[in-house]
Amino acid sequence: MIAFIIRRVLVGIVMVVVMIFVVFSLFFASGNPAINQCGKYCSAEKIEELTRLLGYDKPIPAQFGDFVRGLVVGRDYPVNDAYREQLIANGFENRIIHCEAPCLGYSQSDQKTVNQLLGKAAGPTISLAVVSFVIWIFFGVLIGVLAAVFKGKWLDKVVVGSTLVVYALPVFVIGTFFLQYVAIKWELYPYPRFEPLQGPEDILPWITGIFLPALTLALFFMAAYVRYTRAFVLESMSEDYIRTARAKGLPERRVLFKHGLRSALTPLVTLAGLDFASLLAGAIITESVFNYQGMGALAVKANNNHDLPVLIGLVIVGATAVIVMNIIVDILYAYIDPRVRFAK
Amino acid sequence: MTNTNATTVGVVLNSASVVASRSPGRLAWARFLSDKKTVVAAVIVLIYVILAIVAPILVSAGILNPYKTNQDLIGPDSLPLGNFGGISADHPFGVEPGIGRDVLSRVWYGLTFSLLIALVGSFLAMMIGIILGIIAGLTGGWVDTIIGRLIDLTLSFPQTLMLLALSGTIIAILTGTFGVPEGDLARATYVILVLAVFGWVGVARVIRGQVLSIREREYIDASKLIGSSAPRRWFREVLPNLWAPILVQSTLMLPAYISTEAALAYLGVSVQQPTPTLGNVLQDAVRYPVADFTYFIIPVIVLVVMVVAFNLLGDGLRDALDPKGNR
Amino acid sequence: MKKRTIARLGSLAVAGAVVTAALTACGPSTGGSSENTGGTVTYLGVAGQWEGTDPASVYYGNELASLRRLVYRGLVAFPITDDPNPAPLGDLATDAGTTEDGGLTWTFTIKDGVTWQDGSPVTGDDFIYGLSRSYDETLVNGTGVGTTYLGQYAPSVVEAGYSGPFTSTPEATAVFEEHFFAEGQTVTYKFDVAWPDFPYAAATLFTTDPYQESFDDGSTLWEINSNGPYILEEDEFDPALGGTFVRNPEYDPSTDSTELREALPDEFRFEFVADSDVLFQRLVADNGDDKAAFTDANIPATFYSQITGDVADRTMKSTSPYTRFLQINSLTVTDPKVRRALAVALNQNGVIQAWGGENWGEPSTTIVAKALPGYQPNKGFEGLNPDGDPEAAAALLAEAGQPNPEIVFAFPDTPTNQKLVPVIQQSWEAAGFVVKLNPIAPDATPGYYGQMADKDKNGNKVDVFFAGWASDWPSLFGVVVPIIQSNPAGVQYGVGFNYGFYSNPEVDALIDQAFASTDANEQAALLAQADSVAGADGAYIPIANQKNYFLYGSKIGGFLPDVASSYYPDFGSIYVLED
Repeated sequence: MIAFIIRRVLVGIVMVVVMIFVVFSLFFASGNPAINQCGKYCSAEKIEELTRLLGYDKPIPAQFGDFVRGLVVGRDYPVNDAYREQLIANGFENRIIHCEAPCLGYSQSDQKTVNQLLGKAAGPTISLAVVSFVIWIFFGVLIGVLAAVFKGKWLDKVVVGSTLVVYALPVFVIGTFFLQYVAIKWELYPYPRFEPLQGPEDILPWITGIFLPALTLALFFMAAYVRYTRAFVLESMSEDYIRTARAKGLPERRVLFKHGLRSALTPLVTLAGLDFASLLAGAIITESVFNYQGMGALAVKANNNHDLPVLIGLVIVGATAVIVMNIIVDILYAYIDPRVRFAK
Repeated sequence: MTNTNATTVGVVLNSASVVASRSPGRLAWARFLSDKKTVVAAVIVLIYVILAIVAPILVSAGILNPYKTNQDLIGPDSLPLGNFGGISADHPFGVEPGIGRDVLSRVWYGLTFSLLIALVGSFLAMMIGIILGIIAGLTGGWVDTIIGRLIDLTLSFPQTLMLLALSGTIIAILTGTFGVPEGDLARATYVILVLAVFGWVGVARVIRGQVLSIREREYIDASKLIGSSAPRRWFREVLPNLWAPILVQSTLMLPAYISTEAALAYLGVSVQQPTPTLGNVLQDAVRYPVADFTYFIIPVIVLVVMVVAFNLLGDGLRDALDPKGNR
Repeated sequence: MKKRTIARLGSLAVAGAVVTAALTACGPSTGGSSENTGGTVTYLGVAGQWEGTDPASVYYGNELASLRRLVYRGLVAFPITDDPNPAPLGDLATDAGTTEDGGLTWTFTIKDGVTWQDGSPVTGDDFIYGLSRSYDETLVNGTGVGTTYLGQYAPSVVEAGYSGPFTSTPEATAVFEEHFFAEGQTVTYKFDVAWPDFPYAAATLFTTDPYQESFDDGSTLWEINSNGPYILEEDEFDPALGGTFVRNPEYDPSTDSTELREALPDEFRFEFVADSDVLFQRLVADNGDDKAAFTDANIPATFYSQITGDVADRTMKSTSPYTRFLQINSLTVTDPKVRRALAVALNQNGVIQAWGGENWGEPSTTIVAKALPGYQPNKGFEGLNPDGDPEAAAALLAEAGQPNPEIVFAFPDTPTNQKLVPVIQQSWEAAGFVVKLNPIAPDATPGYYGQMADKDKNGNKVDVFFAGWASDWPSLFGVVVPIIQSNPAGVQYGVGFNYGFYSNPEVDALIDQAFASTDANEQAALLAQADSVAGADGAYIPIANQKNYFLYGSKIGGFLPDVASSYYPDFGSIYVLED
């Protein structure tokens, strides 16, 4: 088991490194990023300034090396040595930014390190991901099981029909409807604002504030998970061992929960893990509709400003989350099903 | 006992003769037809496809006018005159707020572009997925592992973020290095590329799984014994057995791609106005949820009906071609 | 749509050799007595529109207006008044400045007893330091105001290579310090070119505002160091979410005047939402805290049908300093007849309707806003048909010998513009033009105005492009000079904002005469004449003069769009109505 875990983690690390490399190449493929990042009122002086600040004039391997060094031990901005010395000479040493490890970069347009930006944005994104996840897993599995149990009956038909429709509705349509009609026009729910969770007394405002966007996001997954659960349960319920359990005289509920659901769980766990991880990179559309300043909103802003360091940081964090989740899920899977450990 | 046996055997023999005369294809067809939902879905899909094909003809004939503005149909508040978004005999779906373009024309013509993008994207994704899936399944060993890791790597990228962030760069490369004309074509190409690059993964997995199970069958070994070359093996023995999952996958991919195009349009990455796609019409419509509910809801309905129909059709095909217990 | 810059109106109080601006304010106070003190006012805005709260980075008119009243006091400021031509009053300075040489040198004395939020006094050196920061490109974040106007009136500083306090050479710094210096509480500004209405610019822009050097630690973009009645509660202002302003314990009202700041609410809550649709839905719904909410955004046309009954009682209309027009690239469209044909053919009313209808704006004949003192219609566009006149335009084209010229039309690619462009395109095509569209992505690099400022238009072929303007301070100097003078006052410093590269010696001569004159009315007349000459020459294509149409909550009192706030609602007079 340990060997399996070690192997998986090593593979994961390799993937993270490869991914950082791919991201770097992709983003730097278009030449000097300072031109892109320069913004609305660009001038030659500003490009020069940006280049010196962020070190874009160094060759790409050197920039990559700096980046890796930043991850490991931290780095200083402005990158250009002469520029730093000039600041010290003019008496502005306090304008030198010390970015501590693991330093993902520095955003000139926000005058903050990427780590600081991500830290601030993590709250709404993680809140959204967690609450959404709980909603869609709980209701998705529950409704899916019910639909499987009552297959063919009215409940099943309604469930299958409505999941198809919900699944087809774009997230921004659902979100806009919730915001404009449910919250504002019909006043059925207080206007959604993100309230950070800093202590137990914040729980109620936090939940109230996160519920509508979390529900928006969850509906789509819920529809999918109802379908998956229903399909998996039905499939496993038709297996031979289920017939045996029934033949043995076990009560139907025991058959369902102890045997049927169990085997449906493994594929569900894999899917759930990956879907949750993908939300950690930020639900761009949902955050945009509700104006929640999570990593998704950060991504949109960074994209508009061509803020390369922030984009790179976001991609790396998001992809790492998925890779880590993959590893966790694989280990869980191997724990549940020993065959997997030896398969590869 | 004997009587029952004889009767049973007789029945079995009789039905065997009935059954034996139907090929798997015809069996599948029968199963397909017996499910009413699927048939209705198929009809709806067919209608949509026909509409999409017919649209360009109607546009050039001047019957559909997705570009013409009708300021006279817009009131001083920038909204369509009349109730329900300006629905009238001339404009059965109303007119677009602000400039009065015919919504029916835009939605209908937008269907063409959306379906076209989705089709080309899924075709590309299928091609890549099928080839890589077959290779992975047949070759095994380290090639399979590498492809598996490639799949994991592709899946680990935050997709929406990547496509948003790379849009500028890649479109610049497309127009610069590859000489793709700027504007609609460059953006459409980008969307198609994005769909293909992230979509091949699902296809590859399914195909690989299928190939693995086919591989265990005897006739592959037999052909290996005979000595037919590897590519020959792949194409003559394996591919024909893959048509079922390929058909199902592609039918299920299309609605996902249409929805993805809508999401991309919302983020401003897809084909831009004035060329209509279902996505960018929806992107505009979602700005008027209260002020012009008709304009808001009509593209949503058109989209949802199409996506649901495609999904039902895909499910039905899967059931018909590969029935597995109770579905 | 270009800079949503501030607009000011006011008279040019220049008369005679010695100028001292009036100390007394005019106009009634707006009911802000102490019984209206208290409460929380919510200011609603759209997320992502602020570019910084560092004074060097603030540029948009509404931001300048709100911060001026809440946290950033300036040398001078305009009073709260409904007078359309107020004069600036001393704010941190004892008066609105003195000049003895017609505007070449200005001197101010800073009041005693004003402090920053940490308690330390505001000194003359702070003003010099603040001014120096306006020269740093990265701080200014490209807004260009400081460097453009400072470069125009004190070109030798820029030419010496001064680039702000962090990166300038000692030689450049010496030139800067010759022009701008402080001795104790006396601050002196020496320009190379006379700036007769300098106090007007100082009142509205933050270019000359003080900055505390010890506060400047390199991450100041979203920080606020207040010397006004309120301070920012959070460490930083959030451009996507907003911030909260509470009373500043260090503020001493005796150093200030209620003519400038009544400071009635206890708290100002800035709250940003995803888009203007959500914003106005909330104002219309008027629920809970939103009763004491207001915004400076205009009511979108799509909401007009909801402005009835009670909702209509909470609206206010005012004039607006913004004009919209199309600039013509004079380097590529060289025949004045072709240029005028574009203006003559344009369906102004159609564009206005697509933009929002008659509540949004009215057809104009000039880039000068009606609200500016000295405004005159452009005689060069007399008789312009606001519905467009394709036949007359075609006739002009025939005269020019170019019946079907090809025109490349560039514009920022936004949903609003996509509605306007077809109207414009069709009105030109009706006259015989062949129109090609060049939409510029909103996140393009360089940005839209960056590209238009470039002589080559960034490699794009561009013949006509969208523009808009509001004078940066209340005078025709703030419009005519930046847009149609071929070079700012005798200096080869950039192109100002004349992105069309329009150059007409007759226009330039009239502008030079205006600079040389010392009579406000004569200046205005000369500038209006320059505008008319440019119009007859087809320098630009006028579209509209905007209007303001505001909505506010049912418990808002003291809502006053005035000159000081560029006709946005004045934060200095707002208060919460008690039940």
